[in-house]
Amino acid sequence: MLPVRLIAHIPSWLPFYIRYAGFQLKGRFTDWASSLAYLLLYPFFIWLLTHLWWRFNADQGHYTGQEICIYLAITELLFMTFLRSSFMERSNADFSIALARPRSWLGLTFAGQFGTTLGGRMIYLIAALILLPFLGAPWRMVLTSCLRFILLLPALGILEALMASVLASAQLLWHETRYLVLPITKIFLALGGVFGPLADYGEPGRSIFLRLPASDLFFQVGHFCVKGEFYQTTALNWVIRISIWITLFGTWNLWFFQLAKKRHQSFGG
Amino acid sequence: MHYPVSAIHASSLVKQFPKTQGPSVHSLSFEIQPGETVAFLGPNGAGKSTTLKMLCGILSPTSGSAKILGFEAGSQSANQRLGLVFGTRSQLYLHMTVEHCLDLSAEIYGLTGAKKRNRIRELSEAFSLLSFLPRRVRSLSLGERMRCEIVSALLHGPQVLLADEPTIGLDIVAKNSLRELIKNWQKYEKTTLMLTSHDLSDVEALCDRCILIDHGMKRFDGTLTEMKGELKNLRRVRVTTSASNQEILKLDRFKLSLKENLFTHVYEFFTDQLPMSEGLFSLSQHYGDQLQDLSISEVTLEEVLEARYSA
Repeated sequence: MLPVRLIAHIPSWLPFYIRYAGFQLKGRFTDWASSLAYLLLYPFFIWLLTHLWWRFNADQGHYTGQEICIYLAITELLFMTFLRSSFMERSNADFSIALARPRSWLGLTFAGQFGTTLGGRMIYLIAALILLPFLGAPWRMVLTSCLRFILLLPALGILEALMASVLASAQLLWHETRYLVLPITKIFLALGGVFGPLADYGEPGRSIFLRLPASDLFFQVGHFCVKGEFYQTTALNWVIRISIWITLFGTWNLWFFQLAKKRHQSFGG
Repeated sequence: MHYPVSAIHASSLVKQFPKTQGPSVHSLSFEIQPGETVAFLGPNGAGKSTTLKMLCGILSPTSGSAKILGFEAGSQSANQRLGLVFGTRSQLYLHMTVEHCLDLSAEIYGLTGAKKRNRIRELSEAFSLLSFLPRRVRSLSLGERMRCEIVSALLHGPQVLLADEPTIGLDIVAKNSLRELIKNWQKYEKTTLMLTSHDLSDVEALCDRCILIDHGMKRFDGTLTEMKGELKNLRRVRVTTSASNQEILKLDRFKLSLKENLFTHVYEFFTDQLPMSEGLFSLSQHYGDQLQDLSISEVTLEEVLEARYSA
């Protein structure tokens, strides 16, 4: 009887936002040619970066060849589904019309980004499950890493959806901030350990990078999936850090949205 | 007929944008009853779109208030009862199929399950969209896309439809077809229609009443016939003769408005001053055997508006 009771308590708006998230995910993969291109590039990047790492770090780093292959699969997957400017542009275009509809723009933007990120990651994860054994990673290790990754997915999805909505609201306030999306993603790429694990970086870079949010979103996730623990920090610490980021971005979202609504009144909609 | 609640009620609406001299909309008041079809006309920059945006909640008025079926404009209750069509802004997703877009539009307004599917089917049939449903929006022509936009706006059965230049950019065939579809649907569902358009044939085809605004203020509110004023009796007779040296007919209450070329003369007269039969008789008498062709036309709405704007 408990599931029935739980269903009865689901807010009426929730199923719509879930369906909207699914709609956006469908939209993300509706272009078969580009989706296929990304799916083909994905194993190529894993192969290339694994070989590069192996060439530079053989027997010197914290990871075995099999582990690094899985690590790179996870971080590449995270990066390929990180902040998409096309989605933010569409969100911006829908801002004024959303004010005339019985749904919240903020809710739509969050749900759309969350659905696209989460769904996209699941698709790449299935690809990783199939491809990684062919790239030399043991099947059992791949499966364990993927299951660990699924554990972290919701929290990562929430944080990234909030980041996307903040950037979308910021673009409504200052249009030029659209140019920030690319640098932000590249900074996360460079500082987050997407090319190679931060654990193998030299000091003092490693200590500095480990303190940055990029490491929480990419490196620590990859490391946890491979090793089953976070690097030089506890699981609780990681959860606290992510929660702080979620709270901060959540607050900025509300603030930016209110500002955007106010500013929207000044230029005619 | 008296209705307890107006479909649209605007009371002393004012919208002042920062860094502009005067308000874009200045103390605008009007009332539209359920089922009415109203054209909202005015030259560029008159405040039509701004008013429409205040009615649907996209913009908030600086002062004054607007209500949709008794609900504050922009509130959830008002938005739920409102359908929107913007000729210059697509609400569909170009890379998705029409079916997916309609599905989403219906869900945004809370339609689900069989009710949603039936409604999509019903409207797709009425607007001849069935064959487009599996196609991507970007593969449609502008006319086809506008039909989809209108269906998308009507899916939740809005009691009020606000349409901002819905036929902009369409060719004459697509325009006529769209007007016919909107007209039939409006009659069928008794939807209140408020339309802005620079194409006055839209207005003549769809609306019974018009509100004319200029510089954000209401200049006229009444039926199309009333708006034409005395010009409603003005008729133009275009005469084609076979002789190039044909004299012009000179009569009181009958004047030559245009000599297009040596063979074509256009006369104007008011039928309340000179009966049509008398006017035509005078012309046929004057031109005699040289009269090759003759056509009669009324004054166009464009001319009426031009006269009103310049006044």
